[in-house]
Amino acid sequence: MRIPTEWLKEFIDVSDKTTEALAEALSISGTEVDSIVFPWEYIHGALSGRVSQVEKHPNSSDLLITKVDIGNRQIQIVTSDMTVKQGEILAVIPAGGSFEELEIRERDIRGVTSEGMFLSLEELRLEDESLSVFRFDDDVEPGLDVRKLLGFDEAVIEVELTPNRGDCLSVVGIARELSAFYDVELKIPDAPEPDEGKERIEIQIDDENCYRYTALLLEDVKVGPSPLWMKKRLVEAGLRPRNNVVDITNYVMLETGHPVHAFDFDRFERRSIVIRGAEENEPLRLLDKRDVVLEKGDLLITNGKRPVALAGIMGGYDSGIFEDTKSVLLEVAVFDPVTIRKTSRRLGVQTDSSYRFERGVDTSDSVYVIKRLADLMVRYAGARAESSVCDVGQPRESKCIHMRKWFVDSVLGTVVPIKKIPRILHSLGFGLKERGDGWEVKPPTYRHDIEQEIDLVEEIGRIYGYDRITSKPPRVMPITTDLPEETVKTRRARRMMTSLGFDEVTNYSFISPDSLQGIESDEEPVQLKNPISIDMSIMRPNIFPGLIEVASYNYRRQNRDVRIFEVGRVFKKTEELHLAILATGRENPSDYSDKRDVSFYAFKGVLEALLDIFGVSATFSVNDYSWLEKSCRASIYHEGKFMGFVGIFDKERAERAYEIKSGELYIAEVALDNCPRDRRQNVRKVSFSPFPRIFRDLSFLVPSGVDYETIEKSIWECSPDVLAEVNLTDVYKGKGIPDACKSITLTLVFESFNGTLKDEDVSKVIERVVSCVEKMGAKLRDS
Amino acid sequence: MLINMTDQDVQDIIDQIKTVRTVNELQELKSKYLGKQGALTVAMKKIREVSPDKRKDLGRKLNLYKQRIEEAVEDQRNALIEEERERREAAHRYDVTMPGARREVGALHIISQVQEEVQEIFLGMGFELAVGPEMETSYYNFEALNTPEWHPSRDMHDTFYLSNGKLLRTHTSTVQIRVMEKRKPPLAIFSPGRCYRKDTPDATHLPMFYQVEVLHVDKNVSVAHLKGTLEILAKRLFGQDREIRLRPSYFPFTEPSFEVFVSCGICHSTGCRSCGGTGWLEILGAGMVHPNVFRSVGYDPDEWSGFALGMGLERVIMLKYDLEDIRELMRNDRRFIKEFRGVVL
Repeated sequence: MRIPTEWLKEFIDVSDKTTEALAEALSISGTEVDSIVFPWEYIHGALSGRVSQVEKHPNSSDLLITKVDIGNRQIQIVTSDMTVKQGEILAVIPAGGSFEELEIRERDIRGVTSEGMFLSLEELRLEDESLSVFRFDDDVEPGLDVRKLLGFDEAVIEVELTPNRGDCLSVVGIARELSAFYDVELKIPDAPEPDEGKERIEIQIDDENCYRYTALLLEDVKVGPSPLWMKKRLVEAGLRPRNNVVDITNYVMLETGHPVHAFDFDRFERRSIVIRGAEENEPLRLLDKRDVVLEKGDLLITNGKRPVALAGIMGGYDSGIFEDTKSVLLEVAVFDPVTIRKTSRRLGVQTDSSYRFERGVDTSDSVYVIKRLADLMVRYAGARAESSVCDVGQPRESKCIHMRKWFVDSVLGTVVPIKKIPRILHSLGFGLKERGDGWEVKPPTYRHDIEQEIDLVEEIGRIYGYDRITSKPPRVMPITTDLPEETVKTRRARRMMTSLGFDEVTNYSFISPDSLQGIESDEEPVQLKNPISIDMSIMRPNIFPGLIEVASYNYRRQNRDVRIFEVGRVFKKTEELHLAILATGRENPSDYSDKRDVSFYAFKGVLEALLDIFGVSATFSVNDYSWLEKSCRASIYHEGKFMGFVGIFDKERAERAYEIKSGELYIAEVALDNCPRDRRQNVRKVSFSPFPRIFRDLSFLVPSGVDYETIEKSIWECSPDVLAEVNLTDVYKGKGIPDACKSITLTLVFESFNGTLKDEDVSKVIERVVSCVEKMGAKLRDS
Repeated sequence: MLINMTDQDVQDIIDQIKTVRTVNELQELKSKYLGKQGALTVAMKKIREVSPDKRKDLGRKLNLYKQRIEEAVEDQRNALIEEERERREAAHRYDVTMPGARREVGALHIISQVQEEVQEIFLGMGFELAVGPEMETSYYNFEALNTPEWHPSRDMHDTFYLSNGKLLRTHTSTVQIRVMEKRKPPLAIFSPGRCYRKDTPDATHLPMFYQVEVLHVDKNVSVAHLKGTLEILAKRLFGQDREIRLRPSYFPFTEPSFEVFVSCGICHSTGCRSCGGTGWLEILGAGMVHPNVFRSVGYDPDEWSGFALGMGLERVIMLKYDLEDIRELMRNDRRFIKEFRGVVL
């Protein structure tokens, strides 16, 4: 909300304070100040000028040449306003000044020099469209600063109000805050009693969500422009001036915080007011010509027959104020905040009025507000009261709260001087009576946010000042619980993957449905009902689609060597912790001596190193995922549990959907929830023997149809427990090896826990191993 | 030779040593004269046979010869080793200025690094780490946190709703409720994690962000303890010379509530361009746990009190590393990620 300081000073004497000091005071006491603005800064160098001479332009019948006295000198201005007359005092920007982005310079207009421009009300932003220039009263001296003359030189403080402080949504509300902070008096002038009119307006409240309704009928209203000072304040507050009747209602709302409404009473078919709940599907055309369809629960102002306004939100079009309006019914009402909020939300209609009602409006100031309205209408719209103030409903009494001194001190962590407390609360409009170990406190009716003792503590704290509280270290006990498993595993995965040379990325939890196209899943993914865009509308059931996006993003920026991982949650029926890895391009991008691209076996090696640290004894078996290359796709299992997959992303899709035109995208994803919390969870003892080990190399010719796993399995199955390890040490294809074969060399490691092994024992085992392996179709090579 | 070895004999031996070309030959020559059966060794043994009056002089002479030969051998050995070095250098010289075949070290995303940094700070103070679901019920996200359905404070959280009837949590404050429901005070927990608000991405907003929520409940916990905790946080996270300042604010689940500011690291709170002239930078929201929140989990607000604070990591990163557009955090440009290698971890 924008608070013009010049308006503020009408209610509180802060003339000795700078705008910055006021802003700081507000911010210290809880009203966030967004900025300090000078709304008229766009006008530079404007002076009052007396037109001393007017003559016709020799080359145009639509232009006049004027001589203007701007105090210390006389300048010549060519104008298109043919109404300008000698002797008038106008607002002038002479050459050298500026208007908005425009530098005013001497220029040639159809052969005649013009040394400045005249300002109109439109240019002063005080009306939508001006037909002629702005004229000062005749007694204004030429050569004076226009901004000073019009009072356009004071700052506007823009405040951001928290939703609990509806009472601050007004100039008076902010003045009240400052009066409490500075402990100076708040002066609200009395509104004069309107003349007693003879008509009585019949008001009937048929719905409990209207707390109070106050009305006054005015006649002889003359719709026209508002006074300049009022327009100026409205503009400073961010509103657009319309006409005097509408402007006065806005003005009073800004001043008091109480939304009000003006009806054209002549357009009422019945001269009464009935407040009732809407019927299902009841239509109403609003002031801004929007047609809305109402529901039960919406609140309407009617004339007893037809709705005339959507209560607290916007008036009806049919009873609006127009140029010819003569009879005005003023409304000052109070409605239930939730009712207004529900309707406003559902219809998507938020107004200055609904905004205030949602946050709570004072029920006790209705009569004052209507008198204030009437007074301004009488003075500036020629109105005359036709009725007396008609007032139905009761102001709501606020409930007393018992506030204990020790409680105040214990929450704030300091001893607030006992005399300060009543001072602070009084200055904020609270009533106070000593009682027991504290006070009986009665909040003012406009403070809907004060409901319990803690609310009073906050009031004291914010005015007393939090800077006065000395900090104390927290009194926290040592931790006795374990870190959550998710945290432990996340940290382990991060540490592992970065040491394996992978960079961590972070993607949104929501992804595009396109990225899941064709990716089989036994569960429907969770969808966002109100996504920002379709690209962010599905909760990710896997992390890897995000990694492919990242690879694509980098690929398109000439970063083709990508080695990345992400560890985080995925969303199914429950939330699970996953790790996804992607590699493409070179295996060692920063090593010029290594030109190799990532290979499947290198990638799988990374995965195995990781899984090993996570205590997973992984087995890999070919799967049928259609989005992975047929030649390279596998599922990972650990003790029979599905852990994830590894493979090459479908190359056609990588190119079509992700613009990755070269190289393989190796991807893997692992469900970390299925890993043991601790690799050594079930292992207690150190598992190697103190006796020397024996190493034996065996090379086999293996036909390409025989998987490595088959060979290794057969070795383990036929070996006694002296076999400790089987390690693949070489794979060779090429010269000397038959076509559909490869040569593999295995190093078998033997050890015994009972003593040093003898060569003969090992040789016997080797014989058995060779015959087992040969049964699988492999053949021992001569060494 | 033998006992009657002369200076000339020794000189001949030394000359011979100097002609040797390999270390092995040198070793042989050394053995020949100085080894167990070496000429000089044998001669020295024979000293006993010489008359006692000549023994002393002879001994001194032979020792001198031995020493001279030993020195010659050593000198020749060093000469040969040096020659060998020169040869290796001539044959192959490494260019030490050439880049190494660098190992790739992965970089942690800056969000993770700062998250772990914050975790260490709170673990160090004795707060337990707690986690909770991101897909939440409205109860844990709003109602239990004193935010009824039609309250205007809901405007502060534009919420994503899900097809499974849940919503995406708008803060990690949800975890306070889940922990308090299960445990009795005293409690000191913190909860880091992803949160979501329906904000269109721009330079200062993301629809997903990382928050750390901290909660401490005990008897007589006060604003003073909150300030003390915030000071430790600010000093460890931003630097030991930083100060904090509270400004009253409003959150439905705390009262009193605060916006917390940290003094500008550039001007030290005197006001400069980087802090917009105010000298202070807003870093987080905090407050004393609202009695209604305690009531909703069955704690007696007259017996227990507590503070809570919630900090957005993106904001911290922006301030610490002068990041102007937080969308960078989600773009995952390799260059951006590498830029932050080794910042915290």
